[in-house]
Amino acid sequence: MINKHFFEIVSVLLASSTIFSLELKLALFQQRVNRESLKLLSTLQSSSIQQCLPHRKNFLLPQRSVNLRQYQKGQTLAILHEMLQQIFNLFRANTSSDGWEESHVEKFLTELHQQLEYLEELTGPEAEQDSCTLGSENVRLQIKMYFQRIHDYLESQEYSSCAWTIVRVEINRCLFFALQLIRKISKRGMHSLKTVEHEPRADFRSIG
Amino acid sequence: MFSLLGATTLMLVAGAPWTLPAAAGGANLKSPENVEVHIIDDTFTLRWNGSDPAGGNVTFSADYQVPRNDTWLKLPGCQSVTSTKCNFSSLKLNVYEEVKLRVRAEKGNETSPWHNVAAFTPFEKAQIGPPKVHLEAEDKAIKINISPPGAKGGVMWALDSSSFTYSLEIWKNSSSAEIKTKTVYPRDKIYKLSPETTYCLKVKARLLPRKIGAYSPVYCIKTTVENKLPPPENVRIDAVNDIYVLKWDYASENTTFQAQWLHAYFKKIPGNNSGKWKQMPGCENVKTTQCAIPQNTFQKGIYLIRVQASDGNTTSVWSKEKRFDAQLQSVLVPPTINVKPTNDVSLRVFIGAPEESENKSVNQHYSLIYEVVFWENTSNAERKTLEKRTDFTFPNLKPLTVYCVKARALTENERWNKSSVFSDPVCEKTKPGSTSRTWLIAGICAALLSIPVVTYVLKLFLRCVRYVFFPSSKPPSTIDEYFSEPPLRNLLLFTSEEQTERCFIIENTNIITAVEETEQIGEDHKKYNSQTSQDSGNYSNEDDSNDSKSGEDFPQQEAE
Repeated sequence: MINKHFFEIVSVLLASSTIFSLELKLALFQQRVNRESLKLLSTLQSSSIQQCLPHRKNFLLPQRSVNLRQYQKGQTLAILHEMLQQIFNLFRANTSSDGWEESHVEKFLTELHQQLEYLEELTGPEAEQDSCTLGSENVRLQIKMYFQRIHDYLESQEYSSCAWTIVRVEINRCLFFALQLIRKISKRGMHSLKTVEHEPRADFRSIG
Repeated sequence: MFSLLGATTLMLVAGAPWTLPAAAGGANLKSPENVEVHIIDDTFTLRWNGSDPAGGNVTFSADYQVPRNDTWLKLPGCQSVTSTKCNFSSLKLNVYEEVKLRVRAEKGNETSPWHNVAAFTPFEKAQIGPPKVHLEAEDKAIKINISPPGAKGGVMWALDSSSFTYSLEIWKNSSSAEIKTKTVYPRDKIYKLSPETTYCLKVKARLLPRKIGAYSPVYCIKTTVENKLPPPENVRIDAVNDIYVLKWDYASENTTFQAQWLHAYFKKIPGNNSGKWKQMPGCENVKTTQCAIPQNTFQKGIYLIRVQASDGNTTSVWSKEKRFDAQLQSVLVPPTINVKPTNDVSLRVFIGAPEESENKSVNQHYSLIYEVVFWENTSNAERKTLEKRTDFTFPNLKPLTVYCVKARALTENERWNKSSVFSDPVCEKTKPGSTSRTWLIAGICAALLSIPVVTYVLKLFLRCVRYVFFPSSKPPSTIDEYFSEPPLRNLLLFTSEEQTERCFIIENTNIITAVEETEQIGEDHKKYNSQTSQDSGNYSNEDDSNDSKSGEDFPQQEAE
């Protein structure tokens, strides 16, 4: 059920294509992370989702504060960087997540690492001078708190496979959310994704 | 008078509380001043200036408050402290949440007013402490192993342990040495050093965006004696067709080499990752300074490659790790084309994935566009288009002509700027025009439909001709109808009638034939008599001429 829904949305996203100037890398990232996160989900058995439903928890993804329109590009990049960094930290040490093929995890981590490096390239030289990053501090803290909740949950559930399943679904949500951020950056760039803009958002709301 | 006295007494009494403490000698405690919170890694300290100059047994206590709770709780480690600072690291706080503190001075039973510290978020206030560094010397390099700041299991940097970037300063331990600054990974090597020299270095951690930590203490180490077997140098990797070629430089001969690779992201993960290096396929114990690697070994991603030399007895240290971005280097393969002529004189083109025996093609990692070249086989005029779709049509072509198509794949993203070679041309002939064909079909249908029409018309015409030129002796059909009707209708009845009629008509000289017949059925005469008597009655009323004529005609009709 969730799988099919995600698959359709992600296929729509995959079918889109954009050409930017600066944010070329981010556009690629959009497609590639979609692919990898899709694979992550595809390895989830629907039966495992079923049996893990009672373990669900609302991690309170800070959607609203992240989605505020007044962020500038530098701030949004900082927020994005924080998100990806935290996802990387979450999965880098996982040896206890059974049911995942190591190659999948490797690909996912590779992808994240690559995008983190690109983001650091984009933000690096400006980060210290940019006073706009001040505004994003609060959001970074909220994102950190969100991931703290996820870590605490995993610890309290003793890193069971059901707990990891729940976390994986949550991270997919988070990634989707990150893609919305990217779209925002790209919208403020040269071109915009008009066609794809509406469909995934509507779908995301229905999932969220 | 008395009222005046009373009023003064009242005033005095009222004034007493204000004056009395002063008179008691400085029992009015002032709250602490310049209260500051210092947080370094997981160490939380509160510092202030005691405002009481007289000294004495003044102690200080502090409280804290978290946003969820409205009550002030006692700050552990800061209760009744005599010095002007206290350490409250034992408090398990959520470092990302705002916290409020307040401090006051106490002396005996008296307390000063609270001094409120502005609300702060521990994580934001925290400073990064010095990281721990472990060094290992080689002949021309130093291996470093940096542990992130903060204690293990510490809360402050729990979520950021992989996010630190480290900045290192290194210099020779001699006078007037220049200091070099580098950004290093937690597990890294510093190359291009001189053997048997002492180097000193210090490291500081940095957390994006704005947190910069303190420098670690200075560590010094001496590099070893120069190795007999130097490591390979100038490691480079290039893509050639569908393989990668790894090359390096090496001075001496008679050495075997081996190569290893690692996912680049492991460098970001603290801890021991030396076991994660994997052997490079096709590069185990090679004698030459190069080796070939199948392209599907490296999926897209960033990798690190290192090479080691060995001469049987000793092995060299590993070469400098070469960073390799598979995507930048891989080569696109030309796509396969399928062309089908469609009904409306167009050619439909399908661009497919290249045929490869292995599932994992390089092309699938990129979003591709295709440059399609299209020309008429006889002419040289080429039409070039860039297509994103893999299924498209060239419309409005000439019928029954041969056209050829060839295509190559390009990365959509100009940053990669990759292109494959052109595929082999595929030629197809277009189908005949639809206008002539529709006419043909229409003509056939018309012809088919017209055959019965024409035959019918001819038939009529022939009949007309026959009528005019070859009239028949037949009476008109209407008369036939008129006569033929009664006998056909009342066949059974008529036979019985006829018998009676014949009996009746025997007297008439005309009906000789009828007589012959009645003899045949004479036996039945008596039988039918009673029946037909009614009938004869019916018929006798009718016109006699009709009956006689019908009687005459009947045998004729029967014969016919």
